[in-house]
Amino acid sequence: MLRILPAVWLTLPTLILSILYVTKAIYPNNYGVAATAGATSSMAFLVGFVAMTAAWEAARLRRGGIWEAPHTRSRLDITIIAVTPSILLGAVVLLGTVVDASVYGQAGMPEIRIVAVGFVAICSWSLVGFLAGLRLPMSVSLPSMLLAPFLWFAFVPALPVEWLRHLSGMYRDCCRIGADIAPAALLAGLIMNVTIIVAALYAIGALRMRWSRIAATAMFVTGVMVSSAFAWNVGPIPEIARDPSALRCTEVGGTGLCLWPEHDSPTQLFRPTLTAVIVELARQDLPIPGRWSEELASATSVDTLTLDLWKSDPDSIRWSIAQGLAPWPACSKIPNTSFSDIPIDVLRGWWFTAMGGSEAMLQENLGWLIAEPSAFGVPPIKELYGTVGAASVASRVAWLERLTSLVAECQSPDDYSVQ
Amino acid sequence: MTTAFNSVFLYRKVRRVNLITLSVVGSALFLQVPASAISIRVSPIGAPLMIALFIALGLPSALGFGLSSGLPVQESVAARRIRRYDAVLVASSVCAFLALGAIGALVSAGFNAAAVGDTYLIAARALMTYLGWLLVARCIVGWRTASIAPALYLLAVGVFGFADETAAAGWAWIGLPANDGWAWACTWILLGLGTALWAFRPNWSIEVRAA
Repeated sequence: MLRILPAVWLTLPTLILSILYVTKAIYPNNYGVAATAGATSSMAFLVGFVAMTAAWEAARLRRGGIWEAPHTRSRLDITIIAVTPSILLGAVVLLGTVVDASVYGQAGMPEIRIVAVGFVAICSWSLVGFLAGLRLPMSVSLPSMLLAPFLWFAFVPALPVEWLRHLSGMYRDCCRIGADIAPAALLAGLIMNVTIIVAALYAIGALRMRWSRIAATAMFVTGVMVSSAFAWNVGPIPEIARDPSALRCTEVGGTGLCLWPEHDSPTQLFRPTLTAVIVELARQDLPIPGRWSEELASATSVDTLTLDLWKSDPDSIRWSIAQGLAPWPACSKIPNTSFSDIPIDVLRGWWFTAMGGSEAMLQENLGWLIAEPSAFGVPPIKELYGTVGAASVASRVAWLERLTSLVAECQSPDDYSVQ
Repeated sequence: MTTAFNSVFLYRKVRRVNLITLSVVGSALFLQVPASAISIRVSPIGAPLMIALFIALGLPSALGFGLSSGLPVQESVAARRIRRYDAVLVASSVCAFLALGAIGALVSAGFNAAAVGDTYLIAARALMTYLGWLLVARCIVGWRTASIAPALYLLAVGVFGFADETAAAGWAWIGLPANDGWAWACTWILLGLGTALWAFRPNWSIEVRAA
């Protein structure tokens, strides 16, 4: 039996491919929810193998005349037995990928809710594959079941209708460290996949219902509508703000510094680097927010620098801080606004330099501006930074405030010099 | 005369010629959808490129289905040269797709000046690549499951072929620009290999070997 099951042969190569894919697709950020959600990105092709192997099993039963023969087991039992190897293939690969993502991402425990919805999605597609194998010839069912999940998991999320992406059970866009997976998105994915399971079982003939066709259609439509209702309000990214009570806060010379526990272990460089930066900027009397926090920005985050830290080396931390100190202004999101991002890049580069960031990192992020400043209407960047750094505290602060206020109004300065 | 008519009719029925014709016409029509502007990225911006690659898969899948029908063991020893009929069927369906697609591309370019011509060339190249994979896979797994090979290749290109999202890898040549020499060379080599295997080793097939 094992010898002829394609799900058995394909488990190991699929697992290897999935691990390789996820290792390239995600970045270690020490956050279990993000690592688990990133691991589900492999479902775009993993589920294709699940559906294809289920279609193969169904075709074997159909072509051998076994499916149509009278048998003592119910069709539901036969279906479950036939798709179990495919489901196990999917479960093993998904779990293996999640574990790998957690280890690679240094993230600790995976997020079980996301894994559970992913497993239900695997079950639903195994039944869809089984149905296709029963109804279509192998030369059609196998390639279509290999590719249909790819279309569902990769193409549908790319459509401009954003809420559709939450129906699949894949949550690769989640989550920043300040966010948790949105329960509504989980429910949308769960209900949609349960609906597909019920509809597939009915179409296979494994489920009998009163007023069969009408009931099945009504259940399918209801399931789609309910799951869509949950997905509708989620937004493009399936995340909600984490509970801020989990933050670990300390004071650094009057500036509050709050980090999530995943970024606050003794072996990590986040807190020491941030503390050093706060001290350095305060020593230079530069205007910095009174509270630095990793929680998501909100309407109540006045005088708070929102930190979006994901790489743990000191230079990357400094660049993340610089991005937080010179963010994109709200006016840049208004359509038809002519806005140049050059002043933001100039500001970020200056903040990074003021924090003691390395030349290499500055070159990596602003090499194009350093190489040809005149092409972008700015003076030579390093000279500008040197001039600003050598100016008096008052001049430096005035320069910062002038540029920052112009950026906030989506305007570019005519003159970048210190006055 | 009646015998010849009946045999052609039977051949058309067994090989699902109607379905193949439908896939030719349908694929050529879908390629003219205005969304098929060229873009070489598998992203929301690049979706039309991938759509063209998916559209091109329709005809090889239909051919795989049609050619898997029938009785391969009996056909391998038949008096009539079924393989020649098959060759004519494949060549004519591919040429019909190329011709219809070319006409459509010219018409569309006249209407909206979009680079539909590039999309047509990419779809045509993808079609030839899929056909090559189909013919090579036939020798290994037989006609019935040979259509997995082009689907597997397309899936691999879609998932792994655009690692840096700026250009396709060399092995994922169906995603390269329409005028890429390497891509066309790979396409012709694969198609030539598949055609040679089919022409000179027609019985290299798991269904015939199993008999």
